[in-house]
Amino acid sequence: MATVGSGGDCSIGSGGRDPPPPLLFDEENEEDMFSSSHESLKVNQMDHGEEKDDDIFAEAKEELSLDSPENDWSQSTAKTEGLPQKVAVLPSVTAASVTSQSLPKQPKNGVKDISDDLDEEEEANKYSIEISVTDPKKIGDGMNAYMAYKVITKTNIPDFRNSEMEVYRRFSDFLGLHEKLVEKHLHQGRIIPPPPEKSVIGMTKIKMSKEESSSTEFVEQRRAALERFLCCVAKHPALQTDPSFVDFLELEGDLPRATSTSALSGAGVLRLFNRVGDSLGKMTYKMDESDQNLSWSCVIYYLQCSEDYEWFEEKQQQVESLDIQLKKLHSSIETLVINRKELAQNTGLFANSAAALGSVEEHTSLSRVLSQLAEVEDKIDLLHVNQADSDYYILSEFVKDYVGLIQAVKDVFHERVKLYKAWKDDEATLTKKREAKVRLELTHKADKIGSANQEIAEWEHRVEKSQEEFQAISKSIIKELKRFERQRLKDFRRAIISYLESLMENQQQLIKYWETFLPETKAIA
Amino acid sequence: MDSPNISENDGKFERSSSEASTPSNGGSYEPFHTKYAVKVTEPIKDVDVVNYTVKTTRISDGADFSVRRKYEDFEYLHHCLITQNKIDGIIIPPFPPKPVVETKELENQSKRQLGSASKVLSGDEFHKDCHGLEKYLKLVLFHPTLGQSSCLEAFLTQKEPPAKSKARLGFFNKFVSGVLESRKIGHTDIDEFFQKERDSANTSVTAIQEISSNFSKVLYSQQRISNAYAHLSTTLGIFNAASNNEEDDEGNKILVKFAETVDDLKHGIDVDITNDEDTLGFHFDLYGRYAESLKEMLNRRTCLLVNYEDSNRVLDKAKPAKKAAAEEAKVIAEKAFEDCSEVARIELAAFKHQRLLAFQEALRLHAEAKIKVAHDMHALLAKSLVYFKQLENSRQQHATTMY
Repeated sequence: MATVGSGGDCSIGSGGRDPPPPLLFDEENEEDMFSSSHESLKVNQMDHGEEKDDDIFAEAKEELSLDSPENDWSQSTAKTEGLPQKVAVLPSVTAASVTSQSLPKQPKNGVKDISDDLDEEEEANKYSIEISVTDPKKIGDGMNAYMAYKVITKTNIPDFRNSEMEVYRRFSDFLGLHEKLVEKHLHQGRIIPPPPEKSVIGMTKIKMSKEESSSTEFVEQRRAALERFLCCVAKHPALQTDPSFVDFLELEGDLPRATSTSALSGAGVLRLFNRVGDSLGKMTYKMDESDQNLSWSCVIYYLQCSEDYEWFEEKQQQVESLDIQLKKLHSSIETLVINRKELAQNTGLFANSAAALGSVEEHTSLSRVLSQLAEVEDKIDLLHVNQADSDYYILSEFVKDYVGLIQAVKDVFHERVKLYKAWKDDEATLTKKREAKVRLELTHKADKIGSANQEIAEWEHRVEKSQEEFQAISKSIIKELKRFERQRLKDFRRAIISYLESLMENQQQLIKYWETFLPETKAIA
Repeated sequence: MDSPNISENDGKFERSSSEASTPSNGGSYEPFHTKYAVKVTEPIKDVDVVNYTVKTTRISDGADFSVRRKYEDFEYLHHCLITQNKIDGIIIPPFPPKPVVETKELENQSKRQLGSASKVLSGDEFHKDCHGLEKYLKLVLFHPTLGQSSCLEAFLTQKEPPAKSKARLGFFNKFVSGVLESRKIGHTDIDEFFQKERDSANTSVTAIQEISSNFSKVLYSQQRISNAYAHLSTTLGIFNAASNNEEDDEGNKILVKFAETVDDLKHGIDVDITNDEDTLGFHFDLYGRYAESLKEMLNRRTCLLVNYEDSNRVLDKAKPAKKAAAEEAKVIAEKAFEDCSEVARIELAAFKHQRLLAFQEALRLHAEAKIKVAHDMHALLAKSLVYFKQLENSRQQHATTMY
């Protein structure tokens, strides 16, 4: 009887393709086929060991301050049901180890000190907040039905009345919260995390289905997304204490219905037009003057003269690239998820045929081993489903969240340009007023000069205000972006670690299953 | 039954003592020693033909041979083996199907396996073809009857491939399966043992072909995941080119590092796929075809049974003038049937044993391979994990040590 498997020295002579990896059981070629990968890994690690020391020091202080909210995010995601991830809890850093001494940093962007930065971060970090979204329940019937989610908060932030609270919220409440935050904070230059997307299909399915099927995939995905949204808001030092946010988390009973949040609301459509109008305005800046005080061409010109223009230009380009790359990444990960699910399905089919083969097999030991094989493959089917979930939540949804966040960054950039334009418009108006006054003086219309002066004073005040607003938003954006970059680094690192851990756990399970199965094969004959 | 002695060098195949007591052509049975050890290697594509190198070692005197053969040569060998031997009761080792060689065909096969949306094509599978042809030669060499064929010897040792006669090769398959009239196949058997065998053969064929097909589907899914990993790795790599700013690079650098881990994942899956193909995949495929071959053998025997019974009837009804001829015909048919049945019994027992051992081996190797790959993957992932965790911790450490 021939031994199985000795085709290992076949090499491929066509097309320049690499020879296939050496067969595992080919005794002549017995080698650790991963040894070459080990080598390269080692080399890479050594390289990184050298370079990484440089910027660690400079970044260290900022890194520190974001720890405690991050802990919260990790913990809250760990509370989520059904998620296989094991999130390692970071060593917690108490506020005591962060002194108020600020390290003046001299970055290329011209921002001289970050003491404001740190003070705010410290403040935020004296407190912790933990939010979880659970227990989705279908309320009502037919077209008026909706899903209600329980929002549980634990915190020691003084702005909250209690340290623990529980409320029920529906999806439109979350959208309403987001709207309020945008209203209040966007023009102050803050990056506001976007809420989960609306889904007409998803909601219609919920409305139409008769049973209490609150465990459908869609509901679970939405629940997780809502939780991530709230945690992201909670991480932001300024948004954390926003009264609307506080109300959202602690107010008992229903919130007033957010009216403009339906899928195709009038206000929504209007906003869409406004946004389009803005972008069109930006694009047509090369065209001639418009009826506005200041055309966009002038705006762009003056903007170029402002401080930090280069910094903002560069940043915007970076954000654009990041946007494209993240979208590609998301798409790539989605493919992985789909394929993994398919593998799970096919593994299940294979398990069934193994069981079938076992039942027609005459030889009793072989028959038994075949049914055991079927059992192992069934378990592996579940492992694959599990892994697909990890692929989805740890990677896919995570990257999608960042794509949304990038959009929020773009929004804030856009807001800055609007404020700039408003300022310049005001300046133009002021100039006109001054000119008007000069004309009055020349024509000796003394009686009207009084009111002209009043107007001039008013507009001077306005110009001052709008200039302050513009400078404030610029400053705020710089701060926000730095925070964003730091957070991005941390989040991605954490996500990768989480993902690796999930993969490793799967491998361990596989080892367990096959090691249990192996001795059975030896007992056949 | 004693388990046959299986050595690494494909040396001996000893039949159990119980089989030895039922000789087929007179004389006692001696353990059959295969004469040659073979290897099929180096598939080289030449336009639209693939040439293989067949390396043989004669066991009796250690002589080595190395010849170049094409698929068609193997095909002709198979044809000769069948025509030059009495194959009625023999379960003929299944001959591997023709490999896909042309690019266009490869493309189509790829699309079928991986889905038409797939942007990546499967590579050439010549090493699998090698494996299949080698296995075929080994099975033939081990067979007591077929292994002694002169055409086999010529195939293995002569420099030039044996000249093909004018036989139309396309038809030998039909020859093998016999020109079986369907009405004969369903004929009830006179022997309970054989009837049972025929029934179980039918169910077996379906079951094993189904498991083979489902196993292939699993492999295709794995291949698609491998492709997805490759794509993911490329997508992660583009983050590197983004920023000119040193500080903002941190976020991108870890993604590039992660791309390396994804490459490892892909490599792991590729090894896994190859192992699967070579263990269970190969086994299911081979024994699926072997099950067909077994069924065909039983069908041949059934036909002989029908012929025998027919000849009996003819004899009974024969008029005195035709009596002698009918008698002769009956004797021939009887002998053919009885010989076939005798050989069939031996073959069935041997085959089942061989199949059992092959299955055991395949399952064992499969499980061992899975364990090894999982261990290796785990180790690689652990290394990556350490790296990323170090990055995380070092930042905090530096932070705390500053105060």
